[in-house]
Amino acid sequence: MKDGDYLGYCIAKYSARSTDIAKLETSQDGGVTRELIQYALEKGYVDGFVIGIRDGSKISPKVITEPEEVKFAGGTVFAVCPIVSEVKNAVREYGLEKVGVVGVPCQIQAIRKLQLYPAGGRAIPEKIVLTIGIFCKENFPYDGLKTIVEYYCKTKMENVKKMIIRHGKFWVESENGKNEIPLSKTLPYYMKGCNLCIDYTAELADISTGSLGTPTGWNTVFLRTEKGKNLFDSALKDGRIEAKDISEVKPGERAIIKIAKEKYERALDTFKEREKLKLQVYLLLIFLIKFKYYTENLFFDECRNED
Amino acid sequence: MKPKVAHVHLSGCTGCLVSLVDSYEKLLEILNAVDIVYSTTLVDVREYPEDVDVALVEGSVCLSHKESVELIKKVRENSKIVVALGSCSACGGVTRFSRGGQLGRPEHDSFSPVTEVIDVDFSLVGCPPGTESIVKLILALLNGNEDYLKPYKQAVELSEADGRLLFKRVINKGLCIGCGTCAASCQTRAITIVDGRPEINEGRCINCGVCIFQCPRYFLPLEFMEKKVKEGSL
Repeated sequence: MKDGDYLGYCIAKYSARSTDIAKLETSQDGGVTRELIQYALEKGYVDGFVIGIRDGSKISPKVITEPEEVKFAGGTVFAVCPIVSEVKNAVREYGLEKVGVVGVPCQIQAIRKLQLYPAGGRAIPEKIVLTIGIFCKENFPYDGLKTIVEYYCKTKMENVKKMIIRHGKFWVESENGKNEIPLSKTLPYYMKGCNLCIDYTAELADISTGSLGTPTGWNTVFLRTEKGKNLFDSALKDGRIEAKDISEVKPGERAIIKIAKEKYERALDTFKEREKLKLQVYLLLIFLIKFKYYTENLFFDECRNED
Repeated sequence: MKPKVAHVHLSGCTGCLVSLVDSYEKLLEILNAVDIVYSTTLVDVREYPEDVDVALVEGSVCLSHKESVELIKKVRENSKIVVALGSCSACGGVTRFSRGGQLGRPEHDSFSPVTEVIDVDFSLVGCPPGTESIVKLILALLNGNEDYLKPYKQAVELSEADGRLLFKRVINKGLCIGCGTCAASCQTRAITIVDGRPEINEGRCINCGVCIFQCPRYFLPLEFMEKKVKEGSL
């Protein structure tokens, strides 16, 4: 596999940030995701967004329909949030015609599958018009995150202002300052389902954003479809976002490729380990890894024989 | 010549057909492209014809009803492709709860999904399957889109699917990532996500199998999805 393949198909790659000072202060990085959500709602690209919103110290999926509501969305919480479960409500209960979704790579995969094979997704496929993917290497169950924050970082969940994973460290910022631990201490707590994921940069989203690869206070932005490009370009034209080409900034694409490669190889290793066990290696694995990278002529019949 | 399509109605509620009809103008596209040669609800033909290209079978087979068993055997013999349409046909669905003892035919007590009685080529779960999924499946069959059909071919093995299978196949195998797709697709809202994992209200589960079929960790045709995203058709 070539290095570029680890980042998926892109039309354009930028390093960008919001031009809104207030957003920059409360954002994880450059506030691009929030700016795009707000811009898309204002300009009518979408009627509503399904996003994860902090609810006290927890995080839960919510539908937002007003541009102002975006203020609840700032900052990353590294905990599982079942975004897709709220998509049906957005379409059925809120009656939205154009729905946007913000999620991590595996959730974007689920959304794409729901659009292509909508056995349980009546009326959903055509109403999802925009997907924003967020870079993700692994995610934590809520209680796992709580253990890390409260036991290791000695900070109450309610007081956390910001959680950051960078340069091999995990730290939380609160009123009492910054508490930092090495990332290796958090490893026992992440979801092991993430071990089988090969997608770091949300390769199936319209737009992918993340913090890796660009200077602090900026976002990496990958535009993958025409829909995504149109939205980003008009936000750029209206001065809501400022952007540079990713090749102009440090550390640039190299850093992203390194992590994406790590994630891919972790999945491959996990798969090989599973193969040695008597555990039924279900088709998913074959699809996730073999289907894409091993061989092209693997069909279902062969899969069934393996069971 | 247009492909000959049959709609076979066994023990079910016609909900799957209603779901297909809900596609409005897409239905016309399908009706124009095919010849419907047999359908209890649409065509006045009593005998199952020979040389059918695609048979869409809805409902499960009542094993204590001789005519049903004979019909389904004939459907297999006379059709090139048999599609189990909907949960009753694909995995039993709500008919899994049937145990006879009801008037007027109290002796009708044994209902099995079509996938357990004959060899089925493609299987689409759902109670009913989403309108778009039936349309896409039929159009893919007509256009011979094999890449798209592979998961439906695979889903034939879901003959014993229910909410618990989601646990056995995904959660017990350490594959769940708590995305919430099962909760979104559950048609009786029996699934809620608690602490990042599905929790199933088994009293509400009707064995439709949609949760496992829809789970991105059951199958995930990444390459095909990437192609679609690249084309801009998603």
